[in-house]
Parts: sequence; structure tokens; C-alpha cells
Amino acid sequence: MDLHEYQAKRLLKDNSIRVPEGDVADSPERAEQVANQIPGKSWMVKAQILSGGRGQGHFKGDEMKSGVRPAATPEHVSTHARSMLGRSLITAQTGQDGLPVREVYIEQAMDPSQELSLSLVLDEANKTLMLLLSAHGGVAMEEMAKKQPLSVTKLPVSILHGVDQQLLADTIDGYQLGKKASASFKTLIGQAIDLVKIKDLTLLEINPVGIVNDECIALDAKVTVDDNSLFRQAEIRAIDEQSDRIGTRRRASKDGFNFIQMNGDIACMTVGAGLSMATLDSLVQFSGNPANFLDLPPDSKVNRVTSALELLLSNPQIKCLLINVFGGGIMRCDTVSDAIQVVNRLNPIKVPMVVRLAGTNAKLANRRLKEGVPGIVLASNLSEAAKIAAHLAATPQDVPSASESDEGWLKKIIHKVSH
Amino acid sequence: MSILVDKSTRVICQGITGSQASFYIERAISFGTQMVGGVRPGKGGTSHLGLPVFDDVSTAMAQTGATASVIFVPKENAANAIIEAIDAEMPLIICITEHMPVLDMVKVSELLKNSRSRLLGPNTPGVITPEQCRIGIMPAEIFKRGNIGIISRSSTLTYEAAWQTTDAGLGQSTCVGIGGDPIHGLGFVECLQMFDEDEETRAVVVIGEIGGSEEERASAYLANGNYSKPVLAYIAGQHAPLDTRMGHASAIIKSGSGDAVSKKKALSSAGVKVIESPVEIGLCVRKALAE
Repeated sequence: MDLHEYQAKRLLKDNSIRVPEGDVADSPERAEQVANQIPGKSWMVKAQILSGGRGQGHFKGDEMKSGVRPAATPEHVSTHARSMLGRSLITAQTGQDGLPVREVYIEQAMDPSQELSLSLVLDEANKTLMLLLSAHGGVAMEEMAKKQPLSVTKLPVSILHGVDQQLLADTIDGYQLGKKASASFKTLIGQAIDLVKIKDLTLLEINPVGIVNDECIALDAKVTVDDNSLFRQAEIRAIDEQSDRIGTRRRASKDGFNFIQMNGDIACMTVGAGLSMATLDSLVQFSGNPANFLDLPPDSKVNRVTSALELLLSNPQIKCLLINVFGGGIMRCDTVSDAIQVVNRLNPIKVPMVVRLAGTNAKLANRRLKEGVPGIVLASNLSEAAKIAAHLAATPQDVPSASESDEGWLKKIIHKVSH
Repeated sequence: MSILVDKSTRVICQGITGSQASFYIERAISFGTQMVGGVRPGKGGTSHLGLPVFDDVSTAMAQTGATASVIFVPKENAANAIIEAIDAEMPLIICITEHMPVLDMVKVSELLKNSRSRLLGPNTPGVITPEQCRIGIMPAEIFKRGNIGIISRSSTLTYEAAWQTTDAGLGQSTCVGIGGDPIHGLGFVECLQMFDEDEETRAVVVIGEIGGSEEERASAYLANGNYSKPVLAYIAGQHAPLDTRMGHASAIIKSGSGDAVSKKKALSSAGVKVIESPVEIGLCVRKALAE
């Protein structure tokens, strides 16, 4: 789960890390009020979207306006807020549609004598936390680490013993910040490591770190929280719920399953992430266009499978429904066949359905479907299922008449797709 | 022969009294796995599913001579359960638990480094040596004793690959799920090493997916050309959208790295036969063995 800049800065501030004074606003009037409450002679107005590169980005329909702007008066702040709120900001990371700006962050403008950067990331290959430090601020650290490896220092951070103090001191000495600023940077690094551990962060990037009067201050912050840790992070849960209320939450999971909308016309339902990806791969191999990715967890009961099916069938684009389930452990194929029958009885399924069930209770489930859902295609393996689904989506007139037997219909299709 | 587990493996279960654990342990017993006990703090001295229950792992090991522990403890306490098993010097730890906090796994990985334990998972379906030992949640009926080693990041694709090799008349020596989480215990490289030394294994199938760097590390390991058996690989998620997490926590293509194309390229330049379609796993393995 990614936090907005204002949420991240609040988290930093609550944990003794210095940030410029600021507050969030959802209207131009509120933005001006906020500016009036913040000391200083100038302000920054920053669009709050979950994407980096806002300063270099531009608003949809206006190439000139960036997502981060200085303002010399509170009235100026209000004008900027008005031109940002409700519009979409396009950055290098958002794609061409950009992301809608629902809030702006107003903060005191700072004039740092120097900028640095620090980032704490998960290094999956080395199974450790990694501290990235650079004497430059404002550039994407991971990219810079690849392009100019010498400008970024990487230090492993042990969860149990922290970072090697000697290596850290040597690195900071190399930046020649002066005694007081060096000590402040070192303190900031210690606080950042603690914050990552206490709040279960999988990314904390403070970039740039500004040096103002020999003190480090976090000018921008990027925070990702581990979704799996929310059970022990009440404060983050509250932020998450707040984001949900204003409609800016970005999470993959929905009703207990992973659902990703795509552009095609074949709805897919599978149990397990790997088999879901493989199902999409096979569909594309046979020139089919998947309408979505849907991965049900193996402990799903009939009601969850039913709501997944209803979600898929609510898409008006779909021309075929492909279900591929390998029953194993607690996932039994009859759970899936029961859900199909429930959905079909409540609201008869109008698109052709190709179902491939294997593993636990597959025989029983196939028998129930054959008896209970006329016209359903029961495929015996993934290859056959993908081929038939792709074919049905491409030639929808092949749907069987009620008089035609299931067997004959299936044979005809298989004959067709194999030639 | 096989890798990791065989008929001599003596298994305990941490969190044995839970409903999921009970379900799978009953099946493990009927499969013929040597289940020798369970651990549940506060329930020491009782018995469950006909097995003795102990308060902690070290007592269970001392009393039963267990050589492997399977963990069905909820995510909130799974890290502590793994650490307890590491402290007790359990040789093989298999953690089935899903959705563990990733920093818990960073800590576990640090503790594993200088330990006597090996970890599979978390978020793994477990490991199976057909007809000998089944630990975890895999459906036993699709496996068959044979000569193919399977290593996979995904449970359901392990089943698909196993079923296809069974259907092709080949069967498996051992099937290992390394787990779908970004930070996990044993990886492709360690399993490939074990299969290389296993006399029974004639070919190895690696089931990878987008995201992470397991496939790249396997490629680097195999690139010297000293591997003694054919290795085949399928990479799931060839048509996954960019920057979208595909179910598994680690299955995400980030800004131009971790995509299927680069993984396939790395593997194939290391001499691995890349299987293009998930429907052709069985077929490709049979072909590779015939060559």
C-alpha cells in the first residue's frame, strides 16, 4: 500500500523526523487558509497522487502546468490549488490518462544549502533491507544506482544489528557536509531505519533530504507499507480507511480475490496466481483476448466463487467465460461447480462457458455441471480449454441449440479448432 | 532417491490443532508420510489425530526424532514458529502460511544464515516425493513415482506441471514449491543443486513467473554448463500487464525488469530449454528425454 506524500510526511513527523510545515487541502479556499497558517514568505503547492515525477509531470490538456509549483502569496496558493484539483496529472509513471488530483499539499518553501537522498528498500535477492545513500537529491535513486553506480552507496541493514557504523560514517564523511550536518544526517538515517521496522515499510525514500542551517529536513517522502502487516499497524489501517473514503486507495485485492481488469472479451476465473497467469498465457497463445485476471484463493467457499462469477459476468464486453481450476488441498472442484450452478439458476448465464476442472473432486463436479448446466463445455485439459474459449469468443454464432446434444457440440468445436 | 524428503523423513506439525492443519495432516497420514507428532503451546501431553502433542519444537524433536516440521501457524505468529524451529535445529522447515509480513521474513532469513536448518516457503504448497512422503497441501492423486524433478514458485502450476508429466507417462522424483513470497527460504538454485546430485532425477522442470530474480539467479548458476541433466523452464505471466501485481506478492513487473521475455532470454542463454506454452510442459519434457 502506497501512502500519499502528506500521509507519509505526517508519519515521519510523528516519529521525530523533521519535515517542512504543511497541511493537506481539498479546496482552493482551504488551501489559502492553510497557507495563512504556515509561517514563511513563500509556499509550495503539491498535487497528491500516488506517483513519482510530479514536478516534471503536466496536467491533462495543459502541457505547461506541473504538479509541484511555488507560490509567493496565499492567493497564489489558492489559484494553483484551483487549477490542480479535479484534474488529472500525467507523469512518467502514470500512463497517458494520468491520475486525478483530489487533494493538494501546501507547505512552507525551503531553501536548502545542499540536497542529499536516502532510501530503504527490500533487496529480494540478498534477502535483506538495503540502505541507499547519495550526495545528490531529487533524482530517482534506484535508477541512478543502475546508471551511475558510483554516485549511490548501498549498505545492507541487518534487522537484528542495524547498519555497519564504520561503513556508514565513512560514506557520510565522503559527502563533506560539515560536522553538525553529518551528525544530523546520521540521526536521520537511524530514525528512518527504526521507522521502517516499527511501521513495516517495504519502501521509505526521503528524497531530497534538504540541509537547512546544518539540520536535515525531509523535503519529499515516498512510503510503501506492507499490506500483510496491517493486522499489527493500527495507525496505517486508519490511513488506509481514510484513503478509501476519499477514493484514492490502490489495492489489488477485492472481496477476497485478486482481480485485474484487462481489455479482451474472454472472462477468466482460476484458483491460484500461477495457474491464472498460465491460463492467460495459453489464451493469448491461441489468439484469445483475456478480459481480466482473477485469482481465487484456495480456501474460497461457494459464496466467494459466486461473487467472483457475478463480477465477471457483469462485464458487457465478454463473449465467453473460461474457468480453469486445479483442485488441491482444501480447494475442491465441486465448490466451483456448485457456484456455477447457483449463478446460472439465479440469472441464467448467456455467454458460452468453457470449464476445465482437474484434481480434487473433478469427476463429481464435471458430472454435476453436465447434468445441471446445458450447453456448458467441459474441457479435459488446459490446452483444449484455451483453444475452445478462444474459438468461441472469435465466432460466437457457434452456441449450441437446445436440441443439439452436449457431446456432439463439443466434438464439433474440437474438430474445428484442431484443424 | 529423491531430494529433501523420502520415506525416512519424520515429520511434526507446528500448529497441529488448527482446522486447516488437521485437514492436511490427516491426509498426510493416509498418504503414508511418517507423521510423528505435533506442537501446540499449552497442549503438551495431549494427543491429536492419534499423534502426541508437545509444548515446543525442541521437546517434540527430542521425543520423536523428527527431521522435518511443517508449519500451519497463522501469519501473526508464523515467524516465531519458524524461529523456534531454527533454534531447535530442525533440519527441514516447511512453512505453508500465506501473507506473512515481509520484514518478518527478512529477520528469519538472517537467522537462517548461520543455522543448521533449511526452510521451504512461506506460502508454499510444500514438497512431495511420490509414494514416500508428502508434506503440505498438494493433491496426492496427480503425482506418480518417476524421474522428473519439479521446482515451482506457484502451487497450482506445480499441480499442472506434475499432472502433465504424469499424463505423459513420466512421473516425478520430487516436486518442490519454493513459495510465492518475495523473500523465502530455498530457491531455484539450491533445489537445482540437489536435483543435480540426485541419481533418480533425469530432468528438471523449473516453473517460474514474472517478478523477482529467482530465474535470473538460476540462469547464472546454470550458465557454466556443468549441469548434468536437461533443465526445462516455463515462465508464467508472459501477457501480464506492467506494474500490476499478479496475485503473488512477488509477481510484479517493475519498470522494465522481471518480465517474462528477459527471464526466458536469460534461461535460454544458460542452456535451459524454454517451454513457451503452459499446455506443453509434459510434451516438452518427454521430447527432451528422448533427445
